[in-house]
Formats: sequence, structure tokens, C-alpha cells
Amino acid sequence: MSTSPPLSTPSSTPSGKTPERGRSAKGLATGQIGIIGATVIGVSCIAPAYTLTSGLGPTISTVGTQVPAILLVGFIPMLLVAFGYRELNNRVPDSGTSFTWSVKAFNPWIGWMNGWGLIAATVIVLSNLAAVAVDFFYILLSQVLGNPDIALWTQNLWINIPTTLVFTAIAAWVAYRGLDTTQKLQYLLVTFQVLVLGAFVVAALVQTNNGQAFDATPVSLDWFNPLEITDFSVFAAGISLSIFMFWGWDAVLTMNEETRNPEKTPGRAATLTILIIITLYILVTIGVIAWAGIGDQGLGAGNPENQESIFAVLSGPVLGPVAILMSIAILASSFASLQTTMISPSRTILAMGYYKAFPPAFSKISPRFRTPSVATIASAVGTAGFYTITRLISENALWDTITALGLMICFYYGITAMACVWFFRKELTGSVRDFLFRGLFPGIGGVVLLVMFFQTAVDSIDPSYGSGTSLGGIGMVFILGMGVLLLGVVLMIWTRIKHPAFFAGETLPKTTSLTDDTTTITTI
Amino acid sequence: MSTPTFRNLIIAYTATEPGRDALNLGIAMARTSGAHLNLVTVIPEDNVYAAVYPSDRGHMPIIQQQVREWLEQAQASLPADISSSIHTISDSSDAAGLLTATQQLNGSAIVLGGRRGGLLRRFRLGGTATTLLHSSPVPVALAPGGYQNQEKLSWLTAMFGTRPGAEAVIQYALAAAQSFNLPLRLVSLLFLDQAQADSLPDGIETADLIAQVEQFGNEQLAAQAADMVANDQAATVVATGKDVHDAVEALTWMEHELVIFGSSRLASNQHTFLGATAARILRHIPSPMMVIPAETT
Repeated sequence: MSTSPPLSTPSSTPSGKTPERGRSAKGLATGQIGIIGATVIGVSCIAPAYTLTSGLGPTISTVGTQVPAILLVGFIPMLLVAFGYRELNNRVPDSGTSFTWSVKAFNPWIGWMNGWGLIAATVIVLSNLAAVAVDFFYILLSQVLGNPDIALWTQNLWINIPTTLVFTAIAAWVAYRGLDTTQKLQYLLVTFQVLVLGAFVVAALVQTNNGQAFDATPVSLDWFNPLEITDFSVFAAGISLSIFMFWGWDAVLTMNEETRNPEKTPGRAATLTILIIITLYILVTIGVIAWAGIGDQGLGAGNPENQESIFAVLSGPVLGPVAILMSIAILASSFASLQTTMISPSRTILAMGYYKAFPPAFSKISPRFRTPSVATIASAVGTAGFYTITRLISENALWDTITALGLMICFYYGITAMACVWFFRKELTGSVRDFLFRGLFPGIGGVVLLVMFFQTAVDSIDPSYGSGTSLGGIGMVFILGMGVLLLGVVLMIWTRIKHPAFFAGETLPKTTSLTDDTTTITTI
Repeated sequence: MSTPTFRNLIIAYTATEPGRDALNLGIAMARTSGAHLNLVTVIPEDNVYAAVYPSDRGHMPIIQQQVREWLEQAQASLPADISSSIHTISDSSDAAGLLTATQQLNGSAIVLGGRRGGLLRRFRLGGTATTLLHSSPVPVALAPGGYQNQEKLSWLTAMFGTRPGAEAVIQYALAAAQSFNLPLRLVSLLFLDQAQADSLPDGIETADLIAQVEQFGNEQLAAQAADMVANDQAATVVATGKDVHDAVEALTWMEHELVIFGSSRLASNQHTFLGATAARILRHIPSPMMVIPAETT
């Protein structure tokens, strides 16, 4: 446990007493989190109830019954990339973001696009979180009031879009003021999600066994065999969707001083988290497919109507009156994630503003709350704008955004993993451990994700890709994903013209792990 | 309660109007007691249980640097006769951060800015002030919104009621008045209905109030108070009214005065706990106020 004083004292030395709680030099609470706590945090970052309702449908649509297989395989690149994240986070903890790492390792251009990729991925997931929260808000309302018509309000754009904007604004306001989620609340949210999902699995399997299922489908070991997927495009699409399903897991692995035993707790908690999550995902998948089948009619999990939000359709028939708990779990899970995720694009925007990769106004900090101000507003406006546009041009907005999101996560994870290898390139040969964790593992993970990114991007040009929504003969996923990246390129060029300092390497110079000064940030 | 010291003040500074109000009150207190001012800003940090993801911390040094810049500007704006230092501390809660800073810097009191927009545009407590007023181990001073004064304090007023626990505040106020050589008002609040008020003799005598000090404080304090009154160092006032608002309205407020309250009986030993009456009073007074922790028993 670190006992260095938390007070940073530019002009005098405090007569410091030993602090009551252990705190690191950065002021982080140290030694507070055990394995269970870290696991709860990890599960919360993944938000399984939300992720399953959003991600399971598109994944089943892509790989059919092979969802368990693709989840098992998709976890591998995630793990490899997370090793790289951990190395970067441990080395550059105080100035580290995907953006700064890749600028330092490669150059301002790649770094800029990587920062943009992260902002885009988080803005896309925010819009999806808000939309799912709104759907289940009305579903819950209809269940509480016993009026099924209310659940349909969410299909009315005049109700749906304004409600989503209100949810986004609330989340942004909470993020701006600073979050204060207590340990108790987080334990409660996570336990509740896991229990409700477990109840769904039990109910689905019992009914399947009793012949009460919609389309009882016998569980087969083939579902776990990735070699059953013979088409590489299908495989790539499945991988990028499963990356979305695990997104957030790496948070546990990069935990450090806040854990009781930084050597062991993060690794063990990350293992426990992934075991819980994979078990949960596979059981829910088995429950869904066994109960509903993958037919494209009625309640079938292959019916495109059902794939946008699988629990919105299935939790009623499977859980009966208990379905109200599923609505509460998903509403709580997605709204909690909406609040916490709202913080992250604003931080990358702040950093990019600070290093003049964005106009400097984006680096403004609220004197009252000491949080990013312009950047938080920009994140909320971006989310609102992205959602409104997607909802207006796509009939299957949720589905298409999830697929585009998988694409975007592969993009920024891939670049960040490669940045790790390149940043540490002069320190790879010191030991076998360094070579594996700084070089080989993130290198393989990064290459795999970038390949998945390009494959999926090319495939998604096809108008029948994903949900099958298209515009001008081009698939909606391609339009959303590449449109956002192209917008980034335009903004990057505009920034290069207006604010050349960043692109000249003046604000954030290129460096390697040997020469990087991790203790300070460049004062501009 | 040991001898009052404003020797080492923790100023809860932010680059906002409440922050400047706190700074002004700190300057006034420093000029009264010669205190050193520690300008402290809390840098908000994620509560790990909030599960913010991605969890990188690249924003922290940027916020740290901006906060330091604000602190340096505040320090540069201080009058030349004020001794000061600036500090940042990271915590997920402002109140917890300030308490840790107080402990580490050995602070003798925490000074906060009041919020605007409350009733009568005077005090409206924020979450941080509320937490500190109910848990601080050292006195907590609150500047009213828009507090401009930087001059030495010219009066101390101690408020106490007919409840046990008055001892600490009387003792503190007497000692503070003596060590800073300030005139003191001892104010006792009496809540009476109309009939009681009518039957009250014109003007309650100083002697009655001294008797009250003896009853709710102790003999020694009463003697000390009587002594100070005799030397014109202290004045006594009994404020009567049917409720807090009424009683407080009857008082006149001095320029550059600091009003001292004790903690309620709910306070754990050596911690502050703003009583319900004090909480009501502070909405009605235009002066800075200070809540002192409960007596150790």
C-alpha cells in the first residue's frame, strides 16, 4: 500500500500526518477493492443485461446457433488487446488515453483518428444505451400500468426521440456534476441483473423441457464449435459483435492501486468476471435458442423483428408476470451505463482539446465541478445528434448501431494494441514476459481486430448486411461506421489547417517507452 | 475545547464566487489572528464503484493543471500581508477531500463559501457544506454569498440557547475574544409566544444572561463573562421572538462580525453537527458564521 501524501503542494510542504485511508500519489483510494468488489465493477462495466438485449439478436442473426462458439473465440483477441492496455496503463497511468498513446507511438494523424474512433464508439454506444433505456422505460410503464399500448409508444418517433434526448441530457448533467455511485448500489445493480438473467435461463429451459417453448430446439455441442462457421465474413462479423459484448471487461485488468493486492487482485477478478460473463452469455444464448429457435417467424430468435432487442420480445412470454423484473434490470443497467459512459468521450475530447488536436475551447473545465464542460456538452450533443439521425434514416436503428459499434471498437482497440507494441518496441527483448505482454499478445490481438474491422467494413457495403437497411444501395452499417470515420477525416483536415501545432508534433511529441516522461504532461 | 486558533485555515477554494467568498472570509480571519491560509481545491476523482469505462485517467493531469493555475491566480490576488500556500487533493467527494486535507495540513478550521440564491439571498447550503457542518472535527466557517470584506473582523457574536451544550460555544467565544482582542456579544435566543413576551419585563438584565451562562455553561465561564462585561469587552443580548425568524430579526448585525454557533447535542464528541435551530438561524443572518465542534466529555 502506498503511503505517499495525496496533497500536491506546489508552494509549501504540509506537515502531513499519516492519512487514515491509504492513498496513492495521484490521490486514488488504494487498497480498497478486493476480488469480489473488482468483479462487481467489471460486470457493471460490461452491463450484461443491456449488452444481451442489444447484442444477442444481431449475433444470432449473424452466426445462427454458433453464438456460444463465437463468444468463446471472440474473447481471445479481447484478452490479447487487454494485455496491451494493461502495459500502457501501468507505464503511462497519468497521461494515458488511447489518443495520447497512439500519438506518442505513431504520429498525430493516427493518434487523432484513434481518439476519434474512441469518441465515435462511445457516442454510438451512448445513443444505443439511451434508446434501450427508453424502450424499457415504456415497457416497464406499460407493465406497471397494465396497459400494453404504452410499450408501443417507443415506436412513435415523436415520443421516442424527445424521450431519448431527455435521458441523454439527464446523463450528461449527472456526468457534469460528478458521479457518486455507492458500493451498495453497484452491488445491488449487478446482483439484480445476474439474478434476473439467471431466472430467464431457468424459466426458458424448464419450459422447453415441458414442451411449453415457442420452438423447442435441442441444445447441441455443435453450438460450441467455431469450425461450424465456414464463411470468413460471418466469422469476422461475429467476432466484432462479440468484442462489443465483452467491451468493458478490460477495465478490471487495468485496475491497479485501487485494489487490495495490485499483483493478484486484478488478474483474479478479471478471470472471475469473464467466467461469470461467458457463463451468463452462453446460458442465456442456450435459453433463448432452445426456447425460441432461430426461425424467422413469430417469436423465433431469427426473426429480424425480434433481434433489435431480444428481451423486449421474449421476456414477457418466457417470464410471464416476472418480466417486469427484467424491464427493471435492463432499464437500470442501461441507464447506469449511460451515465458512466457519458464521461468517457468527454475526457478524450478534453485531452484532444488540451493538446490542440481539437479547438482549444474543448479543453474548458467547469470551475464549479472541476469536470470537462464544453467536452461534456459536446458528447451529449453528439449522442443526441447521432441518435436522431440514425433513428430518422434507419428502420432498424438499434441493430445497425450495434453492428457499427462493433466495427468502431475493433478500429480503436486494434490501433491502441498496435500502439502498445510500437511504443514498447525498444523494450521487447528484455524478458520473455515483456516480449509476450508488450509485443506478441497485443500484436496478434491488434492485427486480428484490424482484419475484422476491414473485413466487416467491406462486407457491410452490401445493402443486405446486418439488419438489411440500406441507403442508396449501400448498407446502413457501412454508412454509419464509415460515415463517422469520414467525418473524422474531414474534421482532422480542418483542424490541421486551423490549428497546425498538434499536427506539427509541438504539443504531444512522438516518443518511445524509453524516452517518455510519464511524470508530467506537456504544459501548453 | 482547547484555546481557539484560526492559525492554520483550510480555505475550500474553487475559481467561483463561493470560492472567492471563502477566500475573503479567510483573509478577514487571517488579519484577525495572523493565520496562514491553505487554499485547497479538491480534484474530483472517480469513485471506483461508479465503474467508469474506459477507465484511463488522461484527463486527470489536465484538470490538475487547470486547478493549479486557478489556485496560483487566487494566491497572487492575496494581499501582501497574508501568508498562504496552495494545495490540491483528489477525492470522489469534496467534503471528504477537505477533511483529509484538514487532517494532513493540521488545519484549525475550514472556511467555505456560501451559496447564493437562498432565502433572502444569504445562506443556502450545498451538499459539501452540509456534510462538513455535520462531521468536521474542526470549526467550519461559512461566508455568506457575495462576502466582500477582507478587513480584520471587528466583532464576535456567540449564539446560544437554553440547552446543554452551550458551554463549548461560550468558552470558545470568550477565549477567542480575548486572544484576538475583539469585542464579544453573547446572544441568547428565547422563543416565546405572545403572552409570554408580554409578561416579560422590559429589558432582560445582563445579570439574567450571566445566570444563564452559569446554568448552561459553568460557573467559571459565568465569572469570566461577567468580568468581560464589566470591562466593556463583552455585551449581552437576549433576543426574543415567537420563532427563529422573529428572534433573529430583532438583532442588529455589525459590520465585519463573525457569528459563532455550537454544535447540536447530536454531535459526536469533537465533531461539528449543525443543530436544527442554528440551521434555521443561518438563513436569516447576513454575517459569516462558524460552527464549532462539540465538547469532549
